Amino acid sequence: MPFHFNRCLLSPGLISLNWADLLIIIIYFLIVLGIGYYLVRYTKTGDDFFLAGRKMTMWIAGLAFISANLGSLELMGWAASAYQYGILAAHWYWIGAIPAMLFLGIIMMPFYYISKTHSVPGYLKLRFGNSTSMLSAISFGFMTVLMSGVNMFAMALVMKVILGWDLNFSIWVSSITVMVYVMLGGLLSAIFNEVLQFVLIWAGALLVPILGLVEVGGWKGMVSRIQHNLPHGDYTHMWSTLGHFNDNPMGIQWIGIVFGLGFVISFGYWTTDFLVVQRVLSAKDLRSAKMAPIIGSGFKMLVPLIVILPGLIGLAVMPGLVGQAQAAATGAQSYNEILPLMMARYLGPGLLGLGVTALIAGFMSGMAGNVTAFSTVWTYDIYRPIHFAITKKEASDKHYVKMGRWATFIGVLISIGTAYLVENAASIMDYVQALFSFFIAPLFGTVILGMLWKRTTAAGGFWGLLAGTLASVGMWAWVRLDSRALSIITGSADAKAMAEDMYRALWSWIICVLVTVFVSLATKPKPVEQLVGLVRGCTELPSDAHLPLTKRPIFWAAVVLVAFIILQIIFW
Amino acid sequence: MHEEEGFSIWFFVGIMLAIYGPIVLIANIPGLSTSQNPHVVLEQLHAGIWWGILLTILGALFLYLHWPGKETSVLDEKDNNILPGETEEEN
Repeated sequence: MPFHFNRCLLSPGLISLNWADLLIIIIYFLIVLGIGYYLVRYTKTGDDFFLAGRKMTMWIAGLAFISANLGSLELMGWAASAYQYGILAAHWYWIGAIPAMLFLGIIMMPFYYISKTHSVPGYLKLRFGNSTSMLSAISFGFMTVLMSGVNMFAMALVMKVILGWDLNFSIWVSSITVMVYVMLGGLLSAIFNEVLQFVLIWAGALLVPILGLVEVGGWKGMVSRIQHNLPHGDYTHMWSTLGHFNDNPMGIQWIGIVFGLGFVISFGYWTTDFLVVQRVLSAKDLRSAKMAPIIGSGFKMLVPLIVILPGLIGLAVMPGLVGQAQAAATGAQSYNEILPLMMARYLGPGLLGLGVTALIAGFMSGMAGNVTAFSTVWTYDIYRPIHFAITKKEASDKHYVKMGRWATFIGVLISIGTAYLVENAASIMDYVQALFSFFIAPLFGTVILGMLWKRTTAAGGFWGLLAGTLASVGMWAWVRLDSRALSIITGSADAKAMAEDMYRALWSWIICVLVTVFVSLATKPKPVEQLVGLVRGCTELPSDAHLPLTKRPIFWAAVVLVAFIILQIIFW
Repeated sequence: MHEEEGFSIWFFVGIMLAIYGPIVLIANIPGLSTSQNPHVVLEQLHAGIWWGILLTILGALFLYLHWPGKETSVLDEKDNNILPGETEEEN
């Protein structure tokens, strides 16, 4: 039998595991399944299954909030980007996350929390009515399971390349495990495992930058080696090279980073993507809900230590890695595998197992995040209104929990189907990823106007969201049909692909906001009394003045903001 | 989740670290006398030994602080609600 297992499931990979590594991986699977089995007794009502009973402390909600985003492809992808573009990749962790997380905690969370919504489309239903909510729910729900499938395939491919594991084995074992523990414990189970995964990622990955810095002689030694290996580019400064598209390896300038990434993309993702917002909605009270994104932002600032730094150290100690296409053509090693390569370089027995388990755990918790968000949006924002329209009566809570479990099952099956679809037509992966990006920027325009401007109307919200999304699709198609369009959209002939994403998001957000404003001014607004709890200016926000300074969210948001600014200055 | 409702999540974190720490430690003990992985850079620092000990200590600490029935710790934040009159309606 072992021979059969080896022949069917294993082929030569970049790294090989010993007994301790395999034991660590097996124990991880047993722990997550055990947690799902243990938590089923706490998952009885809809609130339990879809919002973890709204009992999570700020630490748990905060770690789950950041962990749902910290998938293995995120880790490997940004380590590869750091190798390709240098420290500029850290912008996605700092300006591309921190301000938005603080904004969510301080400004937006009170409205999400006070409205007692189950989801972001649920907030849109309260604010704008069924049309906008349904548009957002359908686009989010289906894109989420498709993305889950794309990530599943990509992760299985990574496991095949670095460990030699069979694609079918990786896809089925990991997805069935996720399906079982989410069906048993719902969001509670997903959150428990996300917190475990967060600890595991640090336990498995932190030694790589520590040993890497020892090898290269600290930060100065690393910079000196990178300059020696790559004398014609600046890979270690974050802002000083952003004056022009030609001055940095990424082909972007500061306007795209600040307004495209730092404002539209970042705020769109961190404040309106239900995958992450759902974790915060599980908080036990408003203060915990406000603190969770702030705690998450504090940890998010540290993630470049285990993602960006290994990529930079790789530039210093393993120069000459190439892109995927060149690697496939020449047989050379690709920088896409820089993180596992660095693990293999520094980690011995057991430690390598921890590192690989961290990657598997990252994938599984990312998938659980997608599946729990999908089942909630499907059950409450798509199925519930349709059921009500047909039967003219509200179903029982038990009925919705049952539907949530079925949605989890179906969601995982669609994800598996998507993974096999991608295996047979790789270009689908690019299309699905692009498709997901179409909705994020305009949705932020709709939500933020709805939350902060009481004059926004239901028609304004719907047409603004639709126009912004169509504009995003239109720009994407335009660039594919005519490459000169990129220079028009970005305003520079020197712009590269990364710049396109930033500017497309920026334009689609602007179009969404303009259409929402014009249509709103031309249509009749809701009476103010119907906007209480939903809109700033119509809602009396609860004060935390009775709490000591160190208990107030605004204090910790200020601490994180100061740390964020200091980091920008240090790495300017 | 609070202790009175079952095991704290930090208890599970403790279990995981308390299992993984000794495994890493034991797997790296043979490397103290002879080189087991010549391809691993800085093998002579015996990072696996130190990391295994650190994980074991952290695991034991989490288990001690979050053993079922113990008082809540800083990670199980006490109630500081700023919205005492929360409504129960849902959308």
